[in-house]
Amino acid sequence: MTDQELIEGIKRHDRIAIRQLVDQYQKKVIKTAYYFLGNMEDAEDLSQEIFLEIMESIKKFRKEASFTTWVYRITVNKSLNKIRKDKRRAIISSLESVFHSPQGKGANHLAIPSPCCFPFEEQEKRALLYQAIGRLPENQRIAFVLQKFEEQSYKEIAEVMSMSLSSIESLIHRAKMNLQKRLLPHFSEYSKK
Amino acid sequence: MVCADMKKNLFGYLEDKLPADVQCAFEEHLQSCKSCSEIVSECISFEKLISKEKTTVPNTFAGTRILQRLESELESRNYHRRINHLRFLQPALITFSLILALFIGFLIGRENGLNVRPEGVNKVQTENLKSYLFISDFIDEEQTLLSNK
Repeated sequence: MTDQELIEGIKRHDRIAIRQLVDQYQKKVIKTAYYFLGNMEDAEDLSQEIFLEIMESIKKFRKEASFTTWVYRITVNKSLNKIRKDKRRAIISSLESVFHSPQGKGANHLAIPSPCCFPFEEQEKRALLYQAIGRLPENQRIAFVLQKFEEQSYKEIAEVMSMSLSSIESLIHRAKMNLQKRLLPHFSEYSKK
Repeated sequence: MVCADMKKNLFGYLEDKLPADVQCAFEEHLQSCKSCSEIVSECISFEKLISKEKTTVPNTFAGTRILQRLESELESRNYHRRINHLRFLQPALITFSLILALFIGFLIGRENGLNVRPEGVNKVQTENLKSYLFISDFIDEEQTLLSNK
């Protein structure tokens, strides 16, 4: 099934086309969401919302970019929205815990939950990496994740982000410099251990 | 090369994108500077971590769950669409059924209501009763006839 046939099928809510869409894009969608969220369960849950969004807004797809790029765009936007929502929720619940708990300690909901398959030191490093990525400005984060984890070319990233190639290059360079700045102090801590 | 240059070229080194001469200088510096070589080894371990993250595979049932969610959403949408049609037709249906009920009531009333005759009363008795009830009308009519004469 070509992209065009797939799009027409989704517009008609054709079950075969929907199945094809899920089969073809589920891995890409889930993994991209995972690189932003740092948690596979959240990424899998979010992927359902992403596919629903694809179905809902397929009529708005104007074929200016490829279908894959459009799917990436929705995935990135949905992931960033979820991060924003979670942050807001974490702030509210930490404020609530400050006012309600006798000790006045807020829980740290921003910590990245680590899969149990990683050894402890690696879990720590993983949390550190995702926290550092999470603190990057949004544009830098998108560009870095798509380049480093998704191994997309600068051109593909430029299409997803609707930016010029040179802006993407500079975004990725700045993202790397920022990450270096944030991670280097931790490296010295590790090397002291 | 000094430590500041090492930091500047760190990502280039990790991604193997340094020119040959800079790479040589970089590696020479690492051999002589312990802290820089530790930083680089930490960076390499982060690169390995990223590579490991890339191999993470989603749950095999994730696709099935997505499909189930999409199908249930489609079904509920179709149901709501049907309900919405009914909701649109509801006032029209109610008005139509009221009008129909009134019309049927009117027809039944017209058929039976005007020819009501109690059981056991014959036509003559009915005529007598009518003349008794509307006697004043008869008197009026007689008077008008007499005055005309």
